[in-house]
Amino acid sequence: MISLRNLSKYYSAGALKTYVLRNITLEINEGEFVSIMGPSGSGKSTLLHIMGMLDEASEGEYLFLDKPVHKFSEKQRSELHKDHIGFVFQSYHLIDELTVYENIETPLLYQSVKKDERKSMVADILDRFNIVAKKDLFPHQLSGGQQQLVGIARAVISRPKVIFADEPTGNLNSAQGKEIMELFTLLNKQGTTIVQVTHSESNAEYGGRIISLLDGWLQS
Amino acid sequence: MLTNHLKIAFRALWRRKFTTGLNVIGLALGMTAFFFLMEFASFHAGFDSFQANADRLFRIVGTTPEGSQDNVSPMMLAMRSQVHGIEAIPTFMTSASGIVTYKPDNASGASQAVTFKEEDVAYSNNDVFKAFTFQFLAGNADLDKPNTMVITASAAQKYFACGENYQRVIGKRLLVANQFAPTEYAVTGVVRNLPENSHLRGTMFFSLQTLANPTNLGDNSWARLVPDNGSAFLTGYLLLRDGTQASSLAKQISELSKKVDPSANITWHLQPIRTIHTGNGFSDPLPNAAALKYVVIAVSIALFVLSLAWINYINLSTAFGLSRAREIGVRKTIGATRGHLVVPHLLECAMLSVAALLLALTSVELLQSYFNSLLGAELHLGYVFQYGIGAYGIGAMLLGAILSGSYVALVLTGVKPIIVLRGNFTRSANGRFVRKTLVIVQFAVSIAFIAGTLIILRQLDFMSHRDLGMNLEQLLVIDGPQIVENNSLSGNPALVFKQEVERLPFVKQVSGSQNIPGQGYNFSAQGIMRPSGHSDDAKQSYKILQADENYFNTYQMTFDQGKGFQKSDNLGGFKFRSVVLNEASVTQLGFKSSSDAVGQFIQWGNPSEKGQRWQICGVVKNYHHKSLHDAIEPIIFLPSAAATGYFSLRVTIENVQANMAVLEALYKKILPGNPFTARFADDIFQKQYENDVRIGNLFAVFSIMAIVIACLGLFGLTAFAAESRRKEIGVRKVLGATDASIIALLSTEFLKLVAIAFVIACPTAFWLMSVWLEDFAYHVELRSGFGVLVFISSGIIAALIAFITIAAQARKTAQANAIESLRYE
Repeated sequence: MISLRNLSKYYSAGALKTYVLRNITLEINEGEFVSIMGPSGSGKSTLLHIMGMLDEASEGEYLFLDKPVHKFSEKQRSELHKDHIGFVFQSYHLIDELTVYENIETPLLYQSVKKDERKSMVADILDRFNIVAKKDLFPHQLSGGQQQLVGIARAVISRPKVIFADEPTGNLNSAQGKEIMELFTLLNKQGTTIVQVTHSESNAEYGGRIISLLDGWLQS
Repeated sequence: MLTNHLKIAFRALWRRKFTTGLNVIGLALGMTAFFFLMEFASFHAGFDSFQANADRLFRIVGTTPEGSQDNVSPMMLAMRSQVHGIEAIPTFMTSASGIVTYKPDNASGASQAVTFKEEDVAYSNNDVFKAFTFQFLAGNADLDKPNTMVITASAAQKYFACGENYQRVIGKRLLVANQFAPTEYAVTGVVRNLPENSHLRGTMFFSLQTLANPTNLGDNSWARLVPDNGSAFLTGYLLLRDGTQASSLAKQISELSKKVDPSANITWHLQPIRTIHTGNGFSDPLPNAAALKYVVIAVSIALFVLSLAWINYINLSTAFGLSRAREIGVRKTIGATRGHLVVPHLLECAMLSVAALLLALTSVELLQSYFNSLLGAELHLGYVFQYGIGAYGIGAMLLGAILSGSYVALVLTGVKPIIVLRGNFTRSANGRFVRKTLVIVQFAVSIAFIAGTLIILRQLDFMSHRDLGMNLEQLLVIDGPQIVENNSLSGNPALVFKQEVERLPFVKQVSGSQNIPGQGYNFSAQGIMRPSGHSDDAKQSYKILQADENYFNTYQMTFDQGKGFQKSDNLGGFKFRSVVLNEASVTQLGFKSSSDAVGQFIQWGNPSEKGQRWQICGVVKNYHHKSLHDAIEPIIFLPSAAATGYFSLRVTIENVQANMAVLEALYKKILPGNPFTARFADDIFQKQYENDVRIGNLFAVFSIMAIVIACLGLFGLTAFAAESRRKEIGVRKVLGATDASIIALLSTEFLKLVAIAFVIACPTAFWLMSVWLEDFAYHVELRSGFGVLVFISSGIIAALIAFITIAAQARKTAQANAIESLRYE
């Protein structure tokens, strides 16, 4: 599903190029649960952002569902992103002004899903994630674990093919972290491809494959 | 979807109460100023637009190489039958002011006679009511018959206490005593008061036809209603028939004019009545009130203030947008397109604008009477919506809202999500430059306004404390009588009154004169010269004032040389033995000095006739007869023991109320039928500065407004700077910087902007205020220690206010926990 060929990312400062990613070639198939690991500054997040179409590579090819993303305009990329990709962040990034219900509903609004359908989809997710009682609360009224649950609910509501998670448990205690990772496992079993960036060996174990990065180079 | 958007926009605004508050207040302030200024502009631009026939109604104006003239009686009388295309020729004669009395007939009981002095009255023909828009409340106009009149509702209530029942007034008779023979007029109609924005004024219209009767004319042969009367005492208008071209008609009139008087070199114009107030452009050669410049100034300031407010909104919104950028980034990662994001921002802007608009309309409503008293006008919001200019104004306001809202929406939604999510979101140097420029402009305007206010206040102070060359304190001025019934036994009752007043214990001195300082002269005269003078000297103009022998010592003027005249210096029938000059006259007449002039002769008219050659008996030192706007003019004082236009009384300071009552009783007894009007001379003099005081007040108000708006902008910029330098400040604190040093760090940057503003504002304000001061013949000097002081203190005031604004924000940042700011990474 995701196919990277000789992909590099660098920042130019005058004549000097600072490489973040170097010559990455990588295949991720549908239904996989992949963990990207590596020390700080090794380029994991950048790789995730490029795969998630939030950022662009400087060189190389990127095929998503066999479509050449590296040749796409920003608009085409954001269409693709909207339809197939969900994002989960370390610091949740919920929208402060919106209730739990509205946060989860928002992606559907952007996809012009009809009102009745929206209602049942959100109700379904709230139910599955066991957060029905919290639906009218605002993010600041929730614990970190609960906020991340909402973040994941928001990411999966539009039934994406793949979820990119950037250190999803980084701000959580171990019990909350475990809960989230179990949720990911469940989603993966139901067919969603999951790519996560993590520091934690134990979290990485949940995935079927570990990709290691060091100084922008792909290890192993 | 829309309700959802509205709900979210409302929540977003509510969450950032502080920014929202600043935005609403800033916008409301701008809009309030905008509405007030547009009221003023629309009022002046819409003058006479209420006239139903405005498109066909013209004033007749004749111009000669020497100037223009709107009093054109000879022509008007000839025109009616000889020029085609005219529907009506409304005609006025405005020199009609006098005493009007209502004496209830015996049948209606023993109620008192009602008497007032009326200034705003005119003689007119019946065409006036055909051509101009009047709303009749009772009766109708019948002014082609003699001894009829039409009055306004306010006049009807004043004289007849008729309440709303104007029908009662029809047929009632008023006695009018003015320069013509006292005559009675019957009311045939009552009209609604003329609107404020009418160039035509008046509370009473007497039938002009009345003066066709020589008995009623008295000895005023200049006002004979015949075409061959050369006097220009009538003001004329034309109501053209539909389809008549004004230009072709003007040509016909000019041709007729040559037939009537081949020697006259007059060009005739038809002036559209709507241009009488504003002028037809800035260089309209025809006489007009030149109000266009006020319209242009007001509209410019209005648009300027409004755009400052909108730019402030942009400034604040983009500066505080940092916190919103994250949200926008998040929304983009969950699938929002730019279109999805722009709508809620526009909605937010719309909600802010509506809130500001409501606040502004409320403020306008609440502050209207205060604003009106500042301007001395009767304005209301209705004017803004009444005429075209107001519609453009509202359009400009909408456009501003849409443009600034869109700009903010575009800037905020333009951010790339990745940049935001990475957490190193910084604004372009470009936006920072725009904001800095804005702050400079705003402070330049503020400093200029503050300097302007200080200069105006200083000039007002200068004028009220300048030695006028006379003493106006404790000096009471009583208007002389208009109705004087000579009694052969005791002589002129006005003079009797003067004698009686002189005997009162609280009166130190009394003088009678035909006019008074602070008001005017009798008339201007040319042709006065020394016997040895050159013929060109005859072109010099002198002000003539007739006064009695007590005038100089009552006003406590000082003689440079010689002394005042005697009662006996008046030889009767405008012939005089000796006269008094002021120093300006001495110079203009060509004498070397006052001592050179005293004892010499001057002449007016035929010097061989007795009393046309006047000996100079004294020279009074220059004093300010008029306001300091005017240079001291050459005045010639003619002795007139019988001058009773005004009585000036030097009175003691005690019991003013009681003494006034004594004077009034005496006045009513000796001069029955005349209204008693007493004013203090210094009040009369100060009244000349009414407009200047108003301008000073307006400047003060706009200074405050400008500085508040400027501070809002500055506040936004400081908040932004503090936010974006949070990390730097955190590091500095960890390294041991004190709060004070951090406040200094943040303040210096902005005080630099104020300094630049100061450099821009000073020459601009200096130039503008010099232009304003040129209007005063005697004024404070800007090129002096005072000028330097004004500009420096304006700069200091602005800098101080700016510093307080900055420091309040900087202190918060400085005291924030350094670890908090650093942990943000």
